[in-house]
Amino acid sequence: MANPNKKIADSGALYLYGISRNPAGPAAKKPGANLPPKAPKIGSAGIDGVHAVEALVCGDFLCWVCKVDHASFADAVERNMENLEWLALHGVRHQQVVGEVAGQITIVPARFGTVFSGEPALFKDVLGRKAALNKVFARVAGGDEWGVKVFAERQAAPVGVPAARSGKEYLQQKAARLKTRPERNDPELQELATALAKIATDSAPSGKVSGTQPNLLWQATFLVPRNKRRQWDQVLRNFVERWDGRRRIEVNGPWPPYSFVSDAE
Amino acid sequence: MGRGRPIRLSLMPNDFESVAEVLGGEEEVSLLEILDHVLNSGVVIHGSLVISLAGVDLVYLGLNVVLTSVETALTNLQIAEKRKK
Repeated sequence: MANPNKKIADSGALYLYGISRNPAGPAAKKPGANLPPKAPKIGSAGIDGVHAVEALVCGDFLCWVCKVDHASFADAVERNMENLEWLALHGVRHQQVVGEVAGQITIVPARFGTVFSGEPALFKDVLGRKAALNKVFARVAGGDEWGVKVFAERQAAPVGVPAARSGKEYLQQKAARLKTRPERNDPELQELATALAKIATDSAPSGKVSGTQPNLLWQATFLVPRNKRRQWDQVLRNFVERWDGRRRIEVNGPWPPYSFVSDAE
Repeated sequence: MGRGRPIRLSLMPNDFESVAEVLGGEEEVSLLEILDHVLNSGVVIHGSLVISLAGVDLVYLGLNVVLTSVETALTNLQIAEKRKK
C-alpha cells in the first residue's frame, strides 16, 4: 500500500514511474517535504511486487517511485531485456501504477526500467529539467494516448483460381491471398490518418512490438484531448461503416501519454 | 469512457453513441498492447544519475510476443506472481 508520508532513506535506490505536478501551493515544495493532502494514493504493487509506491515532493513536482534493491534490481533490468516473461510481469506492473496515477493526475511517464541511485540523484535530475517538464505538462494535460490499428479482413479464396495441382502451387496461391501488405500510399489509409490527426494534439508511429501481427495494414498512436472524444469517435465510426467487411479497426486506450513525452529529455 | 484501465475495442458498424458502446469486442488490453505502449517510450534519463534503464530489443521481442500467445505469457506471469507470494 502506498504510504505517501514515509521518508525514504537517502541510500535507497529508487525506481521512477513518472512525474506529476505538485498540486500543493508554493508552501510545501521543499524537496523531501511531506506530501500535500491532495496527492493521490496508489494501491498497485511496486515494480518488484514488494515495495509500496510512493510520491516524493520535489519542488513543483511529485515523483512517483518505489524502492528497489540497488544491486539485484538494476542487474535484473540489464539481464532481462530479451526475457519476455520478465518484461511481461514488470511491464504490466509498470502500466498498473502509471495508469492508476494517470486516472487521478497528469503524469509524464519515465522510460520503463529507470532506476536512480537515491533521492539526491533523482531530485537533481528532476529539478534540472524543470523547464522541459513544464512544456511537456502543458502539452499532455487533458489528453489520453490511443492506439489505432487497421486490419485487412480475411479474403475468401478468389473465384476462378484452379485447384492447386501441387504443394508448391497451393503455397503460392495461399501466399497471394495472404499478401495484404498495403501499398505504402494507400489513399484510404492516408485519409483516416489525416482525419484522426486533425483531432489529435499529436501522433506517433506505434506498434514497436506488434508490428508483425497478421493482416495488420496500418497503425499509429495519437494524443487525443478528452474534450474531443466525440469528434474522434465520429471519425472512427465513419471509417468502420465505410470499410465494413473489408477492413477492421481496432482501438486501444486510454493510455497515459507514454509516446508523447520525449521533449522532456 | 472512464479513465480506468485501458481496453481494446474491435469496432463494428452498429449505431453507436461512442466508441465505448460498440460491442464487438470490448476486452482488456493484451500483453502485446501493453508492451507496445510501455516499452522504449517515456522520458529517457541519461547520464550518471541513473543506474539502469531498459533498452529493449524490440525486434527480437516482437517475434517472441507473436510466437508466444498472449494467454500463455499472461498465465506464466500469474504463476510467477503466485510463486512470489
